Amino acid sequence: MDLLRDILDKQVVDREQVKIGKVDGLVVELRPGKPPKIVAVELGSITLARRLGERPGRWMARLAARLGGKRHAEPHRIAWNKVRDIGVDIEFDIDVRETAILDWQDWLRDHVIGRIPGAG
Amino acid sequence: MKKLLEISLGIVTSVGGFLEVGSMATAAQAGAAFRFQLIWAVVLGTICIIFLVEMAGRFAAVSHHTIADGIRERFGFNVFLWPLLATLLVNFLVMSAEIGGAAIALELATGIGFQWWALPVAFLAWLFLWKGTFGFIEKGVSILGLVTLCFVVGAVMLGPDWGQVAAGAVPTLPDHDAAKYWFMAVSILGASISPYLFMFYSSGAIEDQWDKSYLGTNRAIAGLGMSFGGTIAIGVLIVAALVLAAHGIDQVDDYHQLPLMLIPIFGFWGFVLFVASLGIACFGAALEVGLQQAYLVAQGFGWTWGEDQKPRDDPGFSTVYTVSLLLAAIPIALGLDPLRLTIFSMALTAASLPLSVVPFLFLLNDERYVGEHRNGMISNAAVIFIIALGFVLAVVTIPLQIFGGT
Amino acid sequence: MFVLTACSPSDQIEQQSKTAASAAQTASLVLDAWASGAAPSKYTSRTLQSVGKTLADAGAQIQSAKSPEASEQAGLTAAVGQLSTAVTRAATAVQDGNRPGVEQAQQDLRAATAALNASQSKYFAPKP
Repeated sequence: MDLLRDILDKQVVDREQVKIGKVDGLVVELRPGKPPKIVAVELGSITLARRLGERPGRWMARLAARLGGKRHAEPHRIAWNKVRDIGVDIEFDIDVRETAILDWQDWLRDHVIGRIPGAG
Repeated sequence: MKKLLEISLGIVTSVGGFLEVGSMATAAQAGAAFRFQLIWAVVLGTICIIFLVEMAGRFAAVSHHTIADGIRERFGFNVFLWPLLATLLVNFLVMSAEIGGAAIALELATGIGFQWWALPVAFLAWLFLWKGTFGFIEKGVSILGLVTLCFVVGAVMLGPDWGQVAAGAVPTLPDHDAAKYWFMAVSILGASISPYLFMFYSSGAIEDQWDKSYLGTNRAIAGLGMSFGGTIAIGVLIVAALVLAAHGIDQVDDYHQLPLMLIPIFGFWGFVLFVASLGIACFGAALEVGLQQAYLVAQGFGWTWGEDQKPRDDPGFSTVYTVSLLLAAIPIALGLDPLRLTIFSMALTAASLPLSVVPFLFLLNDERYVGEHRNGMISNAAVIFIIALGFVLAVVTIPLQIFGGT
Repeated sequence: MFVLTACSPSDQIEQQSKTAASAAQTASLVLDAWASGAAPSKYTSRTLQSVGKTLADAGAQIQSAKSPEASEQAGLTAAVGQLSTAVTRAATAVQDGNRPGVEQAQQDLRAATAALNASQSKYFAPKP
C-alpha cells in the first residue's frame, strides 16, 4: 500500500460516523529489511503546521498550548490498530467524545454558536 | 418520472443561480460599449462552465468526494492550501459584490443609501443559512431567480437583428478602445466561469446524496441549466446594446444606469423587474457563496458539514459562514462602490482560474476516484483549454486593470 | 482602477468628453422615464446627482488638461459646465416635483448636448 497516497489526507470518522478531521500526519515505524509499519495517525493544527515547515510547527504548538492547555500541546494521535474500515473515509473504532480532538468545536458550540437563538 | 422532475428542478436551479451581479454588470457594460461584439465571451464562458460543472457533478456522484475533498486528498495539504486561499479570497470579494448588488436593489426600491443595507442583507442571508435547509435554499431562492428571465423577454420584444447577434458570437477585434474591450472580455469570462459555482455544485451533489445513477441527470442539468443561464446573460447584453447604446450611453460605470435598461421596454414595471432581478439574483448568490466558503473550509479540514444539520451540530461550519458574511458586508457598509468591486472581483476570478481548474485534470483522470467514468478526450481538451485561457487571463488582467479598467 | 487610460492631453480630453456625452444621455433617458411616470422620483434625483458629479469631474479634467488647442478646449469645458448645471437643476426640480422646472432643465440639457457635440466635432476635426 502506498501510504502517502492512500492514507494521508483522507477523511477520518469515528464509529458513529462523526467527521473528526483528516489524516493530517502519519506515525510510522521503520523496520530494517521490512516495509514500514503505520503506528498511528495524527490530526490537528500542529501536525498541519509542521507539514508547512519546522518554524510554523513550533509556532502552532506554542499557540495551541497557550489556548488549549497541556492537553493540546501535542498533536492528537489515534492508534492504527483501531482502524475498522478504509473506504471513502477511514473509520476508527473510537468515540470522538472521549478524545480531545473536537474540544475546540465543543467550546465553540457551548460559548458561541449554542448561545445564538435558533441554533437547534 | 421522478428523475424527470429532478432534472427540471435542477435546470431551474442553475438558471436561477447563474445570473448574479457579476454577469449582469459585465454583460450590461459590454452591450453598452460594444453592442453585440462581445457575445462570444459569454458563449465561451458558458461552454467552459458547462464542462466544469459536469465534471464536478460526475466526480461527486462517482467518488462521493466533493472537489475540495478530492484536491486535499489527491495533492496533500501543502498543495491544497493554494487553491484554498485563492478561492477564499476570490469568494470573499464576490460575496461582497453580491451583498452590494442586493443593497443597491434595496436602495433603488427605498431611496435609502446602499451602505445602510449591507449589514441587514448580510444578516438576512445569515438567517437563511442558520435556519434553512439545503433544499429550501437551493430551490426556493432559485425559483424566485427566474424573474431574471425578464431580460430575455425584453431582448426578444426589442426585436434585435438576429443575424448581428449571431455574428457577435464569433470573436472579432475591436475597432476602438482595445484595452477596454479585452478587459471586458476578461470580466465576462470571470463572471461566467466562477469557481464557487462548480465547487458549490459538487457539494450540492453530496448533500443530495447523488450516486452513479445520477450521471445522466448531471449531464442534463449541467448542459441545459448553464446554457439557459448563459442565454439570460446574452439577454442582458442585447438589452444593454439596444437600449443604452442606442441612446448614446456607451459607458456604464454607475449602477444608477442599470435600471434604465428595462424602463424603456416595460415602463414602471421595468424598474420593478430590474430591482427584483438584481435583488433576488444577488441575494441568492450571496447565500451560495456564503455556504461555499463554509463547505470549502469544513471539507478541507475534515469537519462536520452540511446545511441540513443544526448549527449546534456543526459549529465549525456555521462559524465560517457567519464570519464570512459579516466580513463581506464591511466593505459595502463602508461605502465601497459595489459596481467597481464587482468588475474588479470578476477580473480577479478569471485570473485565479488556473489554481482551481488544474486539479480537475488530475482528479477526473484518476481511476481510483472516477473509475470507468474518467474524462474523455473532449473533456480533457476542454480542461486544458480553460487552464491555458486562465493563464493568459492571469497574465493580462493586471495590465488591463490599469489601462482598461474604469 | 482609478488610473486613466489617457497618455496625452488630447487623449484625456477625448476620453472625458465621451464620458460627458454618455452621462448626458443617461440624464436625458432618466428624465424621460420620470416624465412618463416610469421612474420613481427618489431614484431619478439620485441618478441625476450622480451624473452631475460625473459631469463635474469630467469638466474639471478637461479644463486642467494641457491641450495645444486652447480655444476648442475652452468650448468643451463650457459645454460640459452647461450640462452639469442643467443636470443639477433637473435633480432639484425632480426632488420638488416641479414639472415645469424639469421641462426647462430638459431643454437646457438638449441645448448643452448640442453645444457639446459641436465643440467635440470642432476639437476632433481633422486639422489642416
